[in-house]
Amino acid sequence: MHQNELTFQRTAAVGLMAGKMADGSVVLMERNTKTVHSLNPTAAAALAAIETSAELPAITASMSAALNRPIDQDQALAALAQLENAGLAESVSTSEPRQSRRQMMRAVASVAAIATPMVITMTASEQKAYAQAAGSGVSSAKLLSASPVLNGCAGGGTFTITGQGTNFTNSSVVTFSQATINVTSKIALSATSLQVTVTYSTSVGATSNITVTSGSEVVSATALLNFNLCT
Amino acid sequence: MRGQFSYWPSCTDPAAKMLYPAGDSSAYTLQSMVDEYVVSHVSGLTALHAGVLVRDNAALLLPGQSHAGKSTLVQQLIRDGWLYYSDEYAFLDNDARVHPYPRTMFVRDAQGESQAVPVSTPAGGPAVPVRAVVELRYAADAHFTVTPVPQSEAVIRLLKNTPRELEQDVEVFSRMVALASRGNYFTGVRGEAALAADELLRLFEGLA
Repeated sequence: MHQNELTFQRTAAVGLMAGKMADGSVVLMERNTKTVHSLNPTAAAALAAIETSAELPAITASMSAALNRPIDQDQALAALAQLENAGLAESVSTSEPRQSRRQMMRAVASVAAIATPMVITMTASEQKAYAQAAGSGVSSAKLLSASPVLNGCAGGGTFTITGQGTNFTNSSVVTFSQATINVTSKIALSATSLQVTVTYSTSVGATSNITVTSGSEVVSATALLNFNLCT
Repeated sequence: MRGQFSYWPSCTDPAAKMLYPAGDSSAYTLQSMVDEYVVSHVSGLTALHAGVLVRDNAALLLPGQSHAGKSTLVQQLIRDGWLYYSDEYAFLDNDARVHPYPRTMFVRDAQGESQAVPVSTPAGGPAVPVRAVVELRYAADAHFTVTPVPQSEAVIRLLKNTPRELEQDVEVFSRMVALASRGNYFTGVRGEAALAADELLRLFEGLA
């Protein structure tokens, strides 16, 4: 199969919110999945060239005109290959099995020696993970338990906080709703397990709220730490 | 923005000195809770995790996660005469202007605990346009080096630094596009804060 026989078109995913930037690059967000794509000017020109189904020579000519510089077919194929990998373009020729077309495009793209990626994609789940690391107020991190129950008469003890989706470190700060409880040491056994040693007054109440701050992550739970009262 | 909240403890309010006594690391917990509330309740603005400094009525944003050395650089820039707007969050409106959030600044001490640091100079002011966004990684003894980022890639980098989730707030996409379309997004590496501050000033003034 000759590469000139390849025909390309946009996929249905390109029902998107788009931002055409002043430097010729384009950013797209898929409305349904919230996946975001960054297209450099070459990839943006390739996507514009396949607004309607087009063959490679026509795509190459269109890209050259849009970019105001010569584009060869290998460069055009490399851009189309990256668009296809991002789910933004597809080859539509039926003269050869789809797999053979993809193999050919990948081979062409690999010899095109493109130094920088032309298409960068970030999925919604990836963005969500970054958002939570940036201190989102809708973080899914929470505290599950604090055990064992401490002896109120002892004046001190060690317990373990178990979290879910947390990022405990040895620098995590642990505070309590009962002012008489003071942390003397803490060890992060894992990102979700924090061993804490405390001292407290023998008049300590039956329960205490706990707040654990790990960087920008703040996680609290009410009545999580329990004491057997000293009578 | 301040008008959206009945009380806003900033770094220069007398009450903040009582809220954040020196050496009390639990103050960071309180400030983080305030931050979380503001970020999730503010309307009409989108938060970006970034230090914000202002000079000549234009803003320099320094995106980065907590404890990535942002506050150290912000402190240095304040010493060099920049106006402090925030060491943690830039709040952006639809016109890509940044609003002040002059919260108490925190830096980590030798034990790794976050300690409040007083800001003795004036802080905050009107919303201003963003002139440059510089995403810096700290490396000991590194020379200050930055390269410009294509505007579409800048959008993705900005989305990585906002606490707002796209799935829940599509507006954040438009606001980051608006900011990136102004251009002037750089990534790079810095070493010592004082040298980096000099280079940032040169870069910033060169973009005027």
